[in-house]
Amino acid sequence: MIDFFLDKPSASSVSHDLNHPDHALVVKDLSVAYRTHLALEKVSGYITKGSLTAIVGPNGGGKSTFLKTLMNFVPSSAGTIQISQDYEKSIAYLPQQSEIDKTFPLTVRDVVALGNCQHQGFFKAFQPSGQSDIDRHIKEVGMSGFGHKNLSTLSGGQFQRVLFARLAMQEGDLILLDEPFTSIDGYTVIDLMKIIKKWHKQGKTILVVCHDLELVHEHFPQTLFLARKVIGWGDTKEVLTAENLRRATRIAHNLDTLTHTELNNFEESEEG
Amino acid sequence: MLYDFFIEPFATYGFMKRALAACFALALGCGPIGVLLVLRRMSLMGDALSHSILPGVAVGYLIAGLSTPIMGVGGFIAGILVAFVATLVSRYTILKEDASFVGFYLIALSTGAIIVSAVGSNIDLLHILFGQILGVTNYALILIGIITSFTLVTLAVIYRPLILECFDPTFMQSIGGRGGFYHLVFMILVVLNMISAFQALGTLMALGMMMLPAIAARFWGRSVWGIFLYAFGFAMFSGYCGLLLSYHFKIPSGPSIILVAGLCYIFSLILGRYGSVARRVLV
Amino acid sequence: MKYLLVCFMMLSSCFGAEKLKILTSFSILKDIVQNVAGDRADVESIVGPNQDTHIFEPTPASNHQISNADIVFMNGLGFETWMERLVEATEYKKPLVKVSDGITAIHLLQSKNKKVAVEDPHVWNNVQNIKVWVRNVEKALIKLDPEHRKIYETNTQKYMAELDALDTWIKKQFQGLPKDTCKVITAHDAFGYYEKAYGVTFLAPVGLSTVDEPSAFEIAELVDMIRKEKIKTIFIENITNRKIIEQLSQETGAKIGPVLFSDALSDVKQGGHTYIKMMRYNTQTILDSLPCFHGSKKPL
Repeated sequence: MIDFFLDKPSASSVSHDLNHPDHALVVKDLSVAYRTHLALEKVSGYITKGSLTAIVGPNGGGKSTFLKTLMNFVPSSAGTIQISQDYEKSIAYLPQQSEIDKTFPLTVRDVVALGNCQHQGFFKAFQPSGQSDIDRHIKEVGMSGFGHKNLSTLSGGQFQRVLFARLAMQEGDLILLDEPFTSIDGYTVIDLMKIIKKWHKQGKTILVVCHDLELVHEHFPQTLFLARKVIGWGDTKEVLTAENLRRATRIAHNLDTLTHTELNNFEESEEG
Repeated sequence: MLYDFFIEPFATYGFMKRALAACFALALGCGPIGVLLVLRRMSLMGDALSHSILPGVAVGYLIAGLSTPIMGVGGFIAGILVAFVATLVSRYTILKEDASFVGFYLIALSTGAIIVSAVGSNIDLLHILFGQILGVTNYALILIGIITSFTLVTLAVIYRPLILECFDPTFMQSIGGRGGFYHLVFMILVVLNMISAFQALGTLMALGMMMLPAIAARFWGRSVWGIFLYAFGFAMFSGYCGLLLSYHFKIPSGPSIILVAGLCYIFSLILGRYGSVARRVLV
Repeated sequence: MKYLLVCFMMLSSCFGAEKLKILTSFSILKDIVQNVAGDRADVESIVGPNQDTHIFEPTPASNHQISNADIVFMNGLGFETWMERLVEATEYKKPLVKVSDGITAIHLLQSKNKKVAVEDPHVWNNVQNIKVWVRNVEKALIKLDPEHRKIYETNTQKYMAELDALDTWIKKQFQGLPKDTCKVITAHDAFGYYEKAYGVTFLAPVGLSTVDEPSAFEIAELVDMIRKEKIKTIFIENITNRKIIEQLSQETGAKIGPVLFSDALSDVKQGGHTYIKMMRYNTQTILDSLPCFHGSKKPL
């Protein structure tokens, strides 16, 4: 009962005990069902430590669900996820910009400072080094001088930069980003991509849900192509083929109208 | 002349001094609570809570008769139960906090009415439990003081996690922050402050002083602490002016205090520094 | 012939044995009616002892009571604001008697500021007014049940004598006490008729009903008054909110006195469960509190 207030789903299929030299996380036959439909079906594969992977696919294909399941926000109905021991308590997650209250009376510095809470906890006083960290991260996202501005004065792109700075404060080793570029202006996308690549260079393992296939081709060495099932998982060149794209498009058109069995039959007929 | 108008009533009469002190304690304790309720979009919760406590008060009356402390404790338990269950529902079903609260406060209110009628008496229990600013005794003042101090200390401790939970609950969850726990602690503080304020000052005063200054302060403060300070200021100002009006112009005290608070709100709405009508029109 | 007579007598005694079902609005009135009706009736009251008629809300039980009643007695003068609704809702068509008809009502301002005067319904605090009640009740019962007029007349005569004795006794208690120092504070403006009849001054910070809210000015005035008149005791009644009275007590040092019964009879334990007992108790309690009262007078 008290678990309700600790925000833990009661049955967890995510374990943090993976002890593998190269793998950051391993997924085996993962299936996730919502009430009315199956969001993910028998997803299997792994992410290498230090890799930069884009997650692409049609709408409704399960990309956000995949990240949410990794974070244990959504229970799986079958299969397992194993995350490396090294990453326990070191996962930084940026959801789609939905539940944040932008009218809240906080400044940019306040929000970035919150990133500290993950390893410092809530009750330790801020060290002076923490203050300079905040300044550094604000500068890195190109928001110098905005430290004392209220959130309500920021544009969409500026706000996203601030969230990236907060993410940087978390100093996570495994970084999960859910559609960070959606509805953001082009300049900001370029700047944010630069930051992601910098993190990649620092050895962090990064997963990014992205719709812009050109961006993926250009910057992401690895890709996971999801359309409820795994269409492809591996080197971007090999995954983002015309054939895979066609297949995904066909599935996308039918994701809403067909049930699970019908979809299976449809895919089999397409393959045959 | 000025002294006669502004200071003399408080200097001469103990009950005026106590009323002013009660306003001060209430402004200090309920001010921040009201601000947080507004930020959390739970502004109507106070009203719902004032009705939810009836079954607890009725059971307290059944056990110990017209004993204000026992009825108060009963009310507190009922209030916590409603807050607890409504919060659970809003976290784990599709209902949000406003709908889940309404549902449970109505159930509580009708349960309370049935218990009261079963006792056979028509005494308005809530009327007996709820006090009056001019009726604040030293004992009630000490009680408000203790609860206010406890509230401020607790708020200071849980400030950071509570703000995070209000602002970005998903982030809170992603760092394993146990947002639900801090929310529950906050709920306990809310119920505690409300019950004590109801007992000392009545529902109109308590809710009015908790919510109106907080709403007005929203137009002036930039940071959360800034809004806290403005809320305290408006509450204190309303209490002081309202009492003076009641003294010099023979109008009931509770409503006159709330009226001043309401005027502060209208003033802020039109001319406040942030997000007011004037800002929209001039910019 | 003898046989027929016996049957007739038996039949008439069968009819005669059936008691009237009488309903009154509140407990004080119930006691009065019971004294007049005697064994001829079962008398019930809608609002019970220690309950507040001003804020009473009728329940299905009240509906039931009124549907079964042969006759209903009420005070009138705006005391039972809910009675009209109740009669309408239950479509009660039998007699509804306002026992205060014929009494000259005092007019009171709701509070010192308002210009609207309302009639003060608390007529029973003057024993002479109760005698008017008794006459009205007697008349109504005789009209309803003329066969037993002798019983009603006898009961009335007996009770009137008791009331007269009570009235005389109360007047005697306050005789000779300096009027301007006989001041009492209560929470509820219910003793206007007592004041007029017996010469004690009652002061109250709130108006006729129990839900008025005072201003700081009025409370300050009362504090000044208590201090000036050196009032030692403040009375609370059996149905009101203590908070203002406690405040006055804390401010001036005046003690909170025992309960006074104003709008309802008490239960048996408290000693005010009939009208006469209630008036005697109130009078004695008031006397004991007055600073101008030395020594005790003999009780009736």
